[in-house]
Amino acid sequence: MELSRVPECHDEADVFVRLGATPQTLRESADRGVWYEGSTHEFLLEVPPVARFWIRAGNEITVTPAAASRPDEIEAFLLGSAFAHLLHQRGAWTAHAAAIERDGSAILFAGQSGAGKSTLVAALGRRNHTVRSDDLTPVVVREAQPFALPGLPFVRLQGDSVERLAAGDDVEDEYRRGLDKYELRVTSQTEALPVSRIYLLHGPHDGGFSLDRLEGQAKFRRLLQCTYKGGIFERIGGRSLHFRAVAAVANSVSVTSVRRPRGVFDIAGLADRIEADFAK
Amino acid sequence: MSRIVWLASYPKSGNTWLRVFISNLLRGTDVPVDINELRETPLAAARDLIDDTVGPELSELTPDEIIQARSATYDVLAARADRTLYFKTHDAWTRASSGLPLFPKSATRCVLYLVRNPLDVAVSFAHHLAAPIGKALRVMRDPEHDLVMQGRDGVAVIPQRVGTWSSHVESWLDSGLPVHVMRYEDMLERPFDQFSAAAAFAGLPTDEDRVRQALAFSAFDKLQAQEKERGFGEKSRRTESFFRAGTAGSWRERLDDEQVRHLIADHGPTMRRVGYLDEAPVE
Repeated sequence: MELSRVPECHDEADVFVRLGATPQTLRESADRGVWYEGSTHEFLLEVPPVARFWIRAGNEITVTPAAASRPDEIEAFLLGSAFAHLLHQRGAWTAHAAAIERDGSAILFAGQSGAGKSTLVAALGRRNHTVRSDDLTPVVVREAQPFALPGLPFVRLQGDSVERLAAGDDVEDEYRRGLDKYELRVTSQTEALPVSRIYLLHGPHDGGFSLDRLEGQAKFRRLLQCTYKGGIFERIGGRSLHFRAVAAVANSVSVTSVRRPRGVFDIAGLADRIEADFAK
Repeated sequence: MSRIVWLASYPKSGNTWLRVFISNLLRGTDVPVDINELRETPLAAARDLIDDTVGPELSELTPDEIIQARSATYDVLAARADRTLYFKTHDAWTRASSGLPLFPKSATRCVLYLVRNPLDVAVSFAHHLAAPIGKALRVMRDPEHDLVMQGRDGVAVIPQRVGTWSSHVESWLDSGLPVHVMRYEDMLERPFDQFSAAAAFAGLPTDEDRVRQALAFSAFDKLQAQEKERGFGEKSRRTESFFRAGTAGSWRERLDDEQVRHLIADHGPTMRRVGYLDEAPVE
């Protein structure tokens, strides 16, 4: 199976992705949801019209495509949800965050789906910041310093954001039929960079723009909520691993909570304020 | 294994009132429940509730797959729960293309379905949308109307397929689920009887003191006071307040004859079915 979104790399492989048979169910599961079951070392993920993914030992994913599935759809779930569980197995913190590079370090923008992560980094990309990842940023801790691994070389935008950013010329076709979402290609990155800051993006509220630095318990608690598939990871037995990974990040990174006004998403206004905050 | 009670209604039909009442009834404390912390009665379409149960990322699923995923989610949540669950929804009772119902019988204990005279719904909806009455009439007859709401603090809510006022009512009444219908007008006129009957139907506490206290804590002026003091996360950004009048019959002052005729032309059969065409429609 050809993976069209993954940049070529000539180092020794440390994750193997294979097409092949996957079990209908696992022998041992700590938890079972609608389309998943698993434990901290083994996870079975099903996307019924697309494929079943069997993720093991942090280094192996076996994929069984569904009958009428398309390779690009399989790839979208492989590189999103399936890889997130592989990264959990490897002990990484999977930040539900987009990231850019600034002065040799990584700046993360975390938040729920719909908070505006992708739109913001796409806008910052247009202001000459290097975009490193979109929805999922893996963070590993080395000698008490968190490093952000590069993500995938595209940003996924809703149709209205494509219009707002006037990015129409740079985007590919709808990547899943029936979803009004498009991929904006960016230059692929290969280096791990130290994480210097994390901005937590919230949905719109009644007030104006605000940026507030978080400290102590509040910082730790809010970061815990920014883990991609964190709820599932905790239920399959990963709670202490999750806490440890997030605590290491909370201890060494500055975290800022960002709010924006209701109404039309003033993306330029938000990008201005974020850029002004970088300088502080 | 437990089951779910659905608090279902078309928007602007008293659902939040019922939700606050049930939250107070279940908590049973001496302090009114904060209207922004209705943990006992979450939104069935809250994204985190579903996202953490499904597996694949919801934002990558198509609308039809989301219906299937939600349906199965409710089965899983019911199976995991050790007590009855109460979920609020504005979705119509619909099915995925495979035929799978969004609100499956297997997960359902019963439905408390709230209905309100569509002539008053139109007035309240226009206020909610901060738009002329005509806009509300168009929304109420749009079979593809999706309700997009933003929960408190950016809590994401999946779009709810509401459809027309008539199809919403008919879908739940014909769902084949055990449905207890509550008319907003009756709730205003005889609150104790109406809320007690609903509590009994849904297996909630029914002792008189507790019901009366929960009713007192969810009285309209109390909800207005809470909103004034702390705001309400589900208020539309276009309006001053969510809890506006809480009365019946304001259509008589606010709608003109033609608007009344339009509403009856659009919704007459369903209005008759739920008892809103017994009265003389216009002076």
